[in-house]
Order: sequence, then C-alpha cells, then structure tokens
Amino acid sequence: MGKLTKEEEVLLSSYSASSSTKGTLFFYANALVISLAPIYLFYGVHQMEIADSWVVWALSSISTAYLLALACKNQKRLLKHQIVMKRGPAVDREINGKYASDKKMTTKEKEERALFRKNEVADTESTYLSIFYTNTLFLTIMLASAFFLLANVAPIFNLLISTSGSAALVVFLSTAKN
Amino acid sequence: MQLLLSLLAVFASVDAGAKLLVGKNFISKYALASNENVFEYEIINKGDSAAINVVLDDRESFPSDRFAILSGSAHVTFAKIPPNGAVVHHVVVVPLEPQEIIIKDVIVDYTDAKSKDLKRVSASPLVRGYDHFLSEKALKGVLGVHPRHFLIFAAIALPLTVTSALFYSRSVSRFPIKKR
Repeated sequence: MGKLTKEEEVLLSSYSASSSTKGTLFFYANALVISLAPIYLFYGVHQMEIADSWVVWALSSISTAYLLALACKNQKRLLKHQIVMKRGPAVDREINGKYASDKKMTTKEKEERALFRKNEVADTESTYLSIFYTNTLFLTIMLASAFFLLANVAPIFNLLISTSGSAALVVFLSTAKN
Repeated sequence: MQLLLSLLAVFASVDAGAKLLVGKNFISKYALASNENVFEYEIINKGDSAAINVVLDDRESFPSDRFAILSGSAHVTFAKIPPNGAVVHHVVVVPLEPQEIIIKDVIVDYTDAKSKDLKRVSASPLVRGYDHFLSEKALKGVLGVHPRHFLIFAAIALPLTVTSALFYSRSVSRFPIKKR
C-alpha cells in the first residue's frame, strides 16, 4: 500500500474518531469542572459532610468526569463531519478571497489549503458545540433527577444516581449513529 | 435467706397493682408554625391490675391563645387500661405563630382498680432536637435550601458551557451558510 498524501491524511482525519491530545485534555478539564459542580450543590443543599462523604464524592466525580469526556468525544465525532459539509462553501469563499491576488498559487494548492482550513474550522466548532451540548444535557438531566425524581432518596444514593446516571445517559445518547 | 425473701417481697409490692408508663413524642417531620404538627401519647400499663379513670392532661403545652387543636385533645380520659395493655392518643395542633416549643411534663392521674388508690405519673416530651415551631422561611434556612447554593453551582458550571456556545456562535457567524 502506497504512502498517503498530506491531502489524504487531512481528509482521513476529518472522519477519524480519535481526538487530538489538546482536544482530549480540554474535554477532560471541562468534564472535571462540570462533575464537581453537583458536589457543591449536594454539600450545600443536602448538607453532606466532607469527612463522611469524600469517598462518595471522589467516586462520583471521577466516574462522571470520565463519562462526560467520553460523551464529548462521541458527540464531536458525530458533529465534525456534519460541520465539514456545512461550512465547506464558506471556507472555500474565504480561501478564494484570501488568495485571489496570488497568481503563483495553483488551484491544487488552494484546494489543499481549503481542505486544511475546513478541517480546522470543523474541529474547533465541533469541540465547542459538543461541550455545550453535553454540558447542557447533563446539567438538565442531573438537576431534574436530583431535585425532582430522586428528591426523597438518601443524599448519597441521590448523588451517585443523579450524577453518574445522568452522565451515563448522556454517553448513551451520544452513541447515536446520526 | 430472710433478707433475700424480704427484698423479693419489696420488689413484688412495687410491681403490684396498676403501674402506668407515659410517653409523648413529636411525630411530624418538622416543627412548623401555621402547619399541622402531630404529637403522640402512649400510656402502657406494666402492672398486674387494671388502671381506671385514666386522665391524661397536657393542656399546659398547648395554651389556647397560642395553639389551635385540630383533632384529639390535650385533656382526655380513658375508662380503663388493662394489665399489660396500652392506649395511644394523637393530638394535631397548629401553632398560631412561630414560637418556642413548651416543654411541660405530661401528667396522667389514674386509679388502681384493685386497691382503689389514686396515683399520678408524669413524663417529659421527646421533640427530637427541635426547640421552636419555625416559620416555613426559617425552616428553609435551617435545611440549607438557599438560592446562594444554586448561584454558586451556576458560577462553577456555566462559564465553560456558555463560553463554548459563544465561541461556536462566533464561528458560525464567521462562516455563514448562504441560502440559495
């Protein structure tokens, strides 16, 4: 099998399920912050004591952070391809406008640059959109379950089910094919 | 041996006749003013004869100018409580305003059916750590359900979420989809 060209690599990466290291770190940092927020709520509203509850808090935040980061990655993979298709013409216009006066640049080079740019734009947009979507969905499900569905359940079980359960549900929803 | 027998005789005489034990419990979840609060009285006869004309009096705990009694009574008479028998009585009161819980002994007067002696027993109430009938607003403060907690929660959770949405919308406006 022959070596892939740069253009082919970029094209492949736009369909790739893997995320860059920077993107993955961003997902984990976001997931950690979002998983810690409910713990403050349980500390304040349900008056869970730090000394009694830190093990449960640690379990809840680690599992929730992992699940949320996974959901973000899944969601990004779904969104990225759609965004490449949507933003393609706009990115082509930007590249054509930018290099219109550059007579030295060949059409192939312009196409290559447009492909890079499309991938870059889609990567950024899908990262932001997946974080927004995943966070919003998780926080909504978590609040509804913690304060309505499981309002009368003991705080420890309420915390575990409402945080990890909601994160698991968000992961499940992010595994949709389309 | 004689000493032992005389001691046994003393204990036997203590248990002889009707012997009532009284308990008063607050059984509502929270002590709330302007709400129904349920108190439960339990009288158990541990003696070997019946208690008759058993009069439970707890009116001092619920003065009529500060409480409305919805059901039951703070002054009630039971005709007879047999040996090893028990009666339970509930009183539902509404404190007219937030106030201190009055801790007064419950007094039970009764007559021993066998010896016809008049006896009195009293007990302190058990109100599970409450010392006031609180207003609903004060109870929310005690329970910790406070908007401040939700505001801090939002301050932790929202910046990343909102920033992501803003960056996304900025990118969308930079690369608009032209309608044909």
